[in-house]
Amino acid sequence: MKTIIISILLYVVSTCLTIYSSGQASIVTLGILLLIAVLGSLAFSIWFKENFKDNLLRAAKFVFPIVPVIFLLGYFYNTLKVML
Amino acid sequence: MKLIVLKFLSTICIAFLVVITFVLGQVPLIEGKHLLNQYIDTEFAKDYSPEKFDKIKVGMTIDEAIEIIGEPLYKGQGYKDTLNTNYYYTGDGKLLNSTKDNGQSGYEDFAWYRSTLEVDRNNKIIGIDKGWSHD
Repeated sequence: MKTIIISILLYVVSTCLTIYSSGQASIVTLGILLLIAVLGSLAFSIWFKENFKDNLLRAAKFVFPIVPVIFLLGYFYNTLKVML
Repeated sequence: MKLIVLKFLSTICIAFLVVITFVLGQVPLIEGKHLLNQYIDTEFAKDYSPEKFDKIKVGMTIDEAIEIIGEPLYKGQGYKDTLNTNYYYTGDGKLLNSTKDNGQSGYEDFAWYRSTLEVDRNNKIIGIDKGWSHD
């Protein structure tokens, strides 16, 4: 439950920052982030040794919050780079 | 053997997705608004400020406007090929100019804030154009 709440929060922050910066309601970015999270979960699930469903859930629990974190790292990297 | 190949492919795929996600995070800032300093790429006229510019109203004379916000960055022909004159108080490319001044190559391009007055032949302000330009 905690992971779901943190994930939703991170995706909302990512979407809000995208809307603020690009000046338009960008639902595409959110869609791409979710797609990356699904693909990442599939790729990461191979590293676990249980059945497919359990592996996918374990991977998703890790990958889903990580994807917006990497997105935000990219966003703030560019934001702070020009200020130095 | 099959599992090793799958793990190898999985690692490549994850690395690729990490890079894509990181780059995707930078995309909104291409011609986008900067979070910490929204006017980072906007060149201001000497005495200009967005707050002062908000005080300018249609119908005022350009002399009254200049008293409030000073001289413009530059003037140009009015929109739609008229005999009006545009007074541009802000411009794009502050970061580009500072990069050139520092002798660096490559620069970031962010959104900039437009502030233009359209003045007719009687020196009356007939149009105010302000807002964010993502170009």
